[in-house]
Amino acid sequence: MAIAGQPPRPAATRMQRLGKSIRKSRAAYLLMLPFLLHFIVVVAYPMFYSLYLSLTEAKLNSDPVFVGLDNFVDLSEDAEFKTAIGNTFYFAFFAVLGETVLSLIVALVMNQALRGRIIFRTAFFLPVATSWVIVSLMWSILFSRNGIVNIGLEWIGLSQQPFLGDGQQAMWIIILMSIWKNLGYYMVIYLAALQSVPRDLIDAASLDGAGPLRVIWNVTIPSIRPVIYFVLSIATIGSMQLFTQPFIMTNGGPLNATLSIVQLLYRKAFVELSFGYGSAIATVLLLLLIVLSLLNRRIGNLIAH
Amino acid sequence: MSSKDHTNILALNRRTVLKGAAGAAAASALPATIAQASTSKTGSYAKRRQDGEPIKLVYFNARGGEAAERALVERYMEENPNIEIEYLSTTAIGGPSDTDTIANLIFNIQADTTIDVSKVEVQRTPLELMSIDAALPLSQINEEAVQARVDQLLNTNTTAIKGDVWGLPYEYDPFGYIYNADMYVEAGLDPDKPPKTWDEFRRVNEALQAEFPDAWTICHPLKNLNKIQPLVWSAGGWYWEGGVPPTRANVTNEGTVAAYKFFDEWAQNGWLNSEEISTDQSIQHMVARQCAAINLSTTTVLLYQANAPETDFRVARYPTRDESFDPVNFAGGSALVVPSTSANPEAALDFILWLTSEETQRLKYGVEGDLGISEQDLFDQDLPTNIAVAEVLADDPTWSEAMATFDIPTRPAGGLSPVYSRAYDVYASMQERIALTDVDVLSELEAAEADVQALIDENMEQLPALYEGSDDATPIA
Repeated sequence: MAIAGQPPRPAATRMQRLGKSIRKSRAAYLLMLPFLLHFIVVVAYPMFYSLYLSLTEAKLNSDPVFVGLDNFVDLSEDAEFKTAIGNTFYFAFFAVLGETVLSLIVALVMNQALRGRIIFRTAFFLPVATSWVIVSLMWSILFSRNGIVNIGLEWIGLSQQPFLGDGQQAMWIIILMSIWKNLGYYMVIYLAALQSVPRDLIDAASLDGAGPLRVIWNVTIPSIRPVIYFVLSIATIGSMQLFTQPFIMTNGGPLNATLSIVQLLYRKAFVELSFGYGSAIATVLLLLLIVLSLLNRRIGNLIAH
Repeated sequence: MSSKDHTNILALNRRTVLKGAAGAAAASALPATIAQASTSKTGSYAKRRQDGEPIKLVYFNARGGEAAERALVERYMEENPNIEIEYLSTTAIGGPSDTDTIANLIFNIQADTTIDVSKVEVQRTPLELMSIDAALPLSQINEEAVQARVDQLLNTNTTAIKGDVWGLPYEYDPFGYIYNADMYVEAGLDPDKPPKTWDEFRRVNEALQAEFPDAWTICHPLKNLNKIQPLVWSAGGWYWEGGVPPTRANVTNEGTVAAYKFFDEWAQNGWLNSEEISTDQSIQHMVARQCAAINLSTTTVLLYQANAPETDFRVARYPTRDESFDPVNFAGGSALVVPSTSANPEAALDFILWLTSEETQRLKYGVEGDLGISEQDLFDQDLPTNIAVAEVLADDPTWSEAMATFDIPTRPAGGLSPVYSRAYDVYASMQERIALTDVDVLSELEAAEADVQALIDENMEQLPALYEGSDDATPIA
């Protein structure tokens, strides 16, 4: 505010305003600093270095040699890579569908005032707390040629199945196992969202004569739509990074039927020591995830409006 | 050739020339470097030991057997109070090769981390380290002592490369045909007479299949190249030609074709497992009688015996094509090397010589003295490479089955070169297709050979100095 008799103060420059803002929020920036440092060192720098490596031929015994887009051209002609992409999308589609829908159904049931629901909720969540490696090992034992599942099939008069020895069956075992393990995690997210659905809306719909299913379809689900898209997004991102299950259970076999993009990346980078090629695979995966996330958001916005 | 190729080749040629010049200079300066590294301001290594001057070593274990290695380090320090050993280790994810641990070790070397001794995989790693100047030739540190020790060890053909000794074999991991003798008896077979030839092998598998129609009469890791090599070699076949590294891939020679057709016969007859089997999974399959026999490391029999002590598991050598062929085996294991970042090469070699001595190996395997480790840890290591100790264990009832093939002559994997990892994957994938699908074996071999040759040709173009002296025509067999 100008004071009478004195010349007006010059307007603050942008830098001055920025400096003032930073000083004002000094504590906040200090608190964020550890995360930022961690992010830069562990996430940002490796990511950009990997992008650089994807444009080089980088092996263990030589400096990286810039080759431009050669790695990506080779990828486009690599049959194994195409197989891995196909497998990963196949897995992601069914796993995400199962995880998103089934966990919502379970959450809707668990949201009711059922006797013993705490026990059920705990039971559904327990697989989430177990290790992927242990779970994969256990399922590979259950579904082995002389595992308990085949014993059960024989007991009821059905023939033994190859399971992990058959490409199609092996992939479905991995899908089912992933749904089973992740179901509790998404159930908890949905439960939190269901708690926040206004009771008035549900009561009003009931008063208007809507049955339970109608209420769920027309009131509950629209109310938690943002959470559904959130679950879809993280389930998709997680599924596209499939690695542990096929690595432990099938090593990508039989005949690459369960080979995933990340498993191929591991093979190229850490078994064949072709770091440039492996980084190119990582770059392609990153681009795929970005595209899928944008697509998911776009669809969500379209439907919301 | 595009300008980009030209630029890359120029860059490579410049690097190759510089590397070659640097290599020549380094080689000529190596003895002086080794001496200097071992000499402090107070004098030579011998004098430092005599004076009791503290000497620090860094021991990087990249090949497991943690408990025994730590205990041995403690014992060495007790016997040599002026030696302090910093123990580091890394573990490998089980897989087709040890490349992740090789990478771990090489990253450390590239970062100039001082590592004086490293325990590494024996078949590939010494050459990998040699090819990138990441290891010191032991024979140039103390040729007489090294040569004397070499004569006492097994598997030394894997670590003697281009006239130098690049490591000393430390642990020995031979392969064998592990079979369930109880199932043999039930099938009317003599368990004391495992198959020695392919014809005998056929009769055994037919008998086992007749008695156990739901079992796999012979199990074999489908995507494992190493496990099939004894079968190929014992049929007069080979994979590589040229020296070390090889210059030609050859899997269409008569012996190799015959071996893979025999392998295909196992699959076609339903003898062979129809899904991949890892070592861990093999325990379940062997104990549950899903597999009547398996081609695997002979030390695995100790795991089977521990899990099913009531079952009579035995080990025999792989069958040969017929009686006119000599048995040949493959043995992996570990070796001890001195990385190029060693600060005390002579002290490092002393430690290596101690570890590979008969006295220490007797201690390591519980033959004499007590290392203070559990029985599980005792069995969690490969077999001894010291010949004298191996002969003692061969007569020990606890170890006798695991030692059953230790005296079968071995060959190095061959193909040792920077392309080996990728070539391995090509051959392993081919093997899986032969096992699981109905393919023409010769066509598969021809295609795989062409793919691997392309890898070799590319590598020869990039690293010509490495291939000097490799004979184009000599089969590595």
